[in-house]
Formats: sequence, structure tokens, C-alpha cells
Amino acid sequence: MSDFSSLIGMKLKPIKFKVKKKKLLEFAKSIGAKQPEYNDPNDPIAHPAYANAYVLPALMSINEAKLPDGSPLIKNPLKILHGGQVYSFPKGAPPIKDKDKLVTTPTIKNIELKSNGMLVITCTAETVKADTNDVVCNSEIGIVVMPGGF
Amino acid sequence: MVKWDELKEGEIGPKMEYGPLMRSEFIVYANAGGDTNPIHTDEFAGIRAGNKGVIAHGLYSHAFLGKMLVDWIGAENVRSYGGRMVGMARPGDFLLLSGKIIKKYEQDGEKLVDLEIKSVTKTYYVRGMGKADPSISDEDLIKKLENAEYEVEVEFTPATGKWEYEFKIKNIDGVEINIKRTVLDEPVVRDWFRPGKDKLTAEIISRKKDSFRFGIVRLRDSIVGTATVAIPE
Repeated sequence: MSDFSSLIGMKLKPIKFKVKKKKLLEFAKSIGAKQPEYNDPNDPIAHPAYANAYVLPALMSINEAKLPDGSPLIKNPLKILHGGQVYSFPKGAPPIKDKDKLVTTPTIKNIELKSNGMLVITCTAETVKADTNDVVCNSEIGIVVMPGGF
Repeated sequence: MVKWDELKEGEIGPKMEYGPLMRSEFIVYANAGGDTNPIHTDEFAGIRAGNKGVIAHGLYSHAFLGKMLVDWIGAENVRSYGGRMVGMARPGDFLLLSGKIIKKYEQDGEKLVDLEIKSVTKTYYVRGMGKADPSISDEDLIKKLENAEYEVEVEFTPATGKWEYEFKIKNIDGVEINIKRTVLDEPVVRDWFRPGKDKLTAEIISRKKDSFRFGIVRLRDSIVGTATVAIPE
């Protein structure tokens, strides 16, 4: 059985995300957010739940993680399930707007092989605005890998 | 406006209901949220994945927890929220979202509240109309509907893709169900039910004099998690 402990604390590839006005407006519409700041056709800001959009791609960077022998941690990405996530928003964080460039850097916090054969990977991720380095969101993401996927 | 003194530990704070979920909304969310996995937008991809059709994005349900908190307290006061995906939601389902106040405390000059948040999927199996003696209370009527014996015969012809079903209900004392005006929702036809795990309950949708509209529903947790919010002065 592979020893996963060496991966704990490993920083994964940062993911860049460019914010687009059209997507902010579509997102607000999709969840029925009525507040004017999310629906301003000229200068909308991101709803907090929009973290789904810029944090989700960070899940994929788990595919880059390698075991000490150089083999990939994830052998079959189709076996990956999304277990859940928690977002924290620093007090006074600036709003996310059109054309913002965000960078999310995930770190492996824990890896646990469950008795049912599932591998549960917990990652933390910090999202900053690329130009100012202001932290806009800290996340904890649960990734479940089904047997045969690792 | 939410007032600190009115919040009590153990009580429900924010609450929201959304639905019915529609396939067209999943397409809008997929484009906006970036999760374009076809199991959420393509019926056949959903079937191939073993889900008996399209399912909602877990993150779509997750987003509604964020919406509930923002609507309740304002985006600038949401410090954290999130949860684990423990169940699926499908087109036609309703999301019942709520936050239970677990702890009130002050930290770094802020008044904070920790909440247990969850999204429960409400799935209609049967909706219909009936007549009941007005002397029967809503509570008793619900009990009668829940304890009644329902029988559903489903026939599916793969060659034509046609579903046919017959619905029967055994006599309920003092209650008459109008079978002709009773509809079976998709989950019954698909037999999407886990015996021993799922419990069906009844709800009265509306009641006027001796007639009423009812639903037989399944409630299943889809996301369970926590949140912390600041309560403004």
C-alpha cells in the first residue's frame, strides 16, 4: 500500500482564474440573487457563493500530485468525487469584480484511507487577487477518490 | 434586520425554500459556475453514470446555502460557510435550507454566531386532491395519509420509451382521495426509493372546507455543514 503521509503539507499547482462580468451576472441569476450589487449590468460584484467557480478548478490540481516514487497519486481522475467544501471570507476582504485575476493555491492537509476503500483527501486553498495579493477566500475542500482511482 | 438579543441558541435562524429545481437552471449554473460535467445537463450521461437521469450539481445546492446566509445577514457579515455533500437533488425537487444557532459569542470585538446549516431535498412522490371531514385536524389528516396503503403498478416499454402506471390507495376512514386528480411524480415512476433508508411523509399543501391538496414526500439531507456569521450592531 502506498505511503501517503509524505504528501501532507505539499503545495499543489496554483490555479489562475479570470473573472468575467457576464459570468458574475449569470451566476447571480442562476441562484436567484436579487441584490442590485450582484446584478448591476455595468459593474457587478461576485456573490460569496461564486467561490464555487474560482475554487472548483483547484480540485483538478490534485491530479498533479506525485508519490515519492514519482508515480501520480491519482491514477484515474474519473474516480474523483467532490466531498464538500467550506469557504472563509476574511473580514473586510475587497469585493471580486470583472477582470480581476485570482490565484488559488491548494495545499494537501490530510489524506486518509477509509475502511470502505475510499481515499479522502483534504486540501486547504488560499485565493488571492493577483495584482494586490489581497486574500479574498480561504477554503477547505474534501476530495473523495473511489477504489481504483489511486 | 437580525438582532443579537433576539437570537437564541438551539433555535432556527435563517430559513429558505427553493424549487422546484429545473433542468434549464442546471444548464445556466453549469455555464456560470464552470462545472460542465454532462451528468448535470444531459439525461443520457446521467443514466450512464448510474444516476437514473440528470442530478443537480452538488455545488448548486451548496450555493443556495450561501444565498440563504447573504439574504439573512448580508454578504459582508458572512465569515465562513460550507458543508459535506451527503445526498443528491434532481429536477422537480425542492431544497429546504436552514441554519440552527449553535453558539453566540464575542471575539475580536465582533458579535459572532455559529450555525449548523443544512440543505434537505424534498421530493414529491405523489400529489393529489381529496376530501376530508372538516372535523379531522390537519395533524390527524397527515397521520391518516402517512399510514394509508398505496399501491403503484409501473410498466415500462423500452421499445417505445413509454411509462404506464396505475395508482391505488386503500380506503382511509373519513378521507376520500380523488384518484383521477392525483399525479405520480417522476421518482415513483423511476422507483428511486431506498427501502429501509427513506421515509415518506405526508404534507397538506392547502385545505379549504372539506377539500384539500396533499403531497407524499421524501425528505433527505443533501448537504450538512456549518457557518459563522457576524451580527451587525
